[in-house]
Amino acid sequence: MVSQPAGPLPESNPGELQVQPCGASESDALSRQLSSWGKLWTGDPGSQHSVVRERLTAWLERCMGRGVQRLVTSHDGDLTLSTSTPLLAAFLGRRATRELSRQVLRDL
Amino acid sequence: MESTNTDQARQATLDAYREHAGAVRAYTHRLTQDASLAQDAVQETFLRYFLALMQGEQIRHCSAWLHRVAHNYICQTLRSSAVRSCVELTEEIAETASVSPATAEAEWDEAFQRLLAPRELQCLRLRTEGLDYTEIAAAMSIRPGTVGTLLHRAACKLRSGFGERGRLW
Repeated sequence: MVSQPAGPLPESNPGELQVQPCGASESDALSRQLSSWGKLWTGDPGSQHSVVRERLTAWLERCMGRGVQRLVTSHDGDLTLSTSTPLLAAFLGRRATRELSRQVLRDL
Repeated sequence: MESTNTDQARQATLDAYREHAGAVRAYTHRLTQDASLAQDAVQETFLRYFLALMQGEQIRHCSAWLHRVAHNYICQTLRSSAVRSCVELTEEIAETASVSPATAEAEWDEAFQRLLAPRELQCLRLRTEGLDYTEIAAAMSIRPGTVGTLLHRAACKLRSGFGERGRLW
C-alpha cells in the first residue's frame, strides 16, 4: 500500500534566513585576491606595487617618523610589506599590523 | 623563498576556507541577519587570515581565530554604520522608519539579547556554532573555566526567563 501525502509541503517562511553554503565562485574570487596580494606583499614589479609603496611610506612616517623607511628597505632598496612587517609588528603589535596591511592593500 | 611562503599561506587560507567558511558564514549571518554583510564579513575574515599567516603568526585554533575575527569585524562595521545612521537621521526618516523582527529567529535573538549579558550571548552563540570550550576560550580571550561559568549563567537566566508559561515574552 502506498501512502498518499497528507497535503502540500509547508512553504518555508519567506522571512526565514537561508544560509547558503559557500560557493565555488566565492572561493575562486578569494583565490584570485590572495594571488594578487601575495605578489604585492613581496613587491613583485607591477603597476600597483607603487601604490603599496606610497601607502606604506605614509603609514611608516605617520607611525614612526620620517627616515624610518630606510631601515626596512630590501636589498634592492625597495620598500615592501614583507620587509616592513617585522618592524611594524614589533612596534604596533600583530593585530594593528594586520589591520595596517589591510588598509595598505585596500582596493588592490 | 618568499614566493614559497606566499604559496603556502595562500594554500592554507584556501584550505581553511573550504573547511570553515560555512560555519563562519552561519555565525555572521546569525549575528547580522543580513546576507550581504555576512558574506563581506566572511571574505574579510579569510583575507585577514591570509595576512596573519604572511606575518608569520602561528594560529593554533583556526576555527576560534576565524570566529573571533569575524565577530570583531561585524562589531566594528555595525558600530560605524550605527554612528553614520545617527548622524544622518532626519525627522522624515524617523517617522517612516519601522523596525520589526522579520523572523522568529530574530525575535529569539532579541529576547536573548534582553536576557543575557553581551559576553554570555557571545559565548552561547559560539557554543551553538559547535566550538568546544577551549576554542570558545581562545575566541573570546578568556579562560576555559570562564566559558563554563558564562554558559551556566546564561542557562540559568534563560530558564528563569522562560517563566512558568514557558515563554520568553
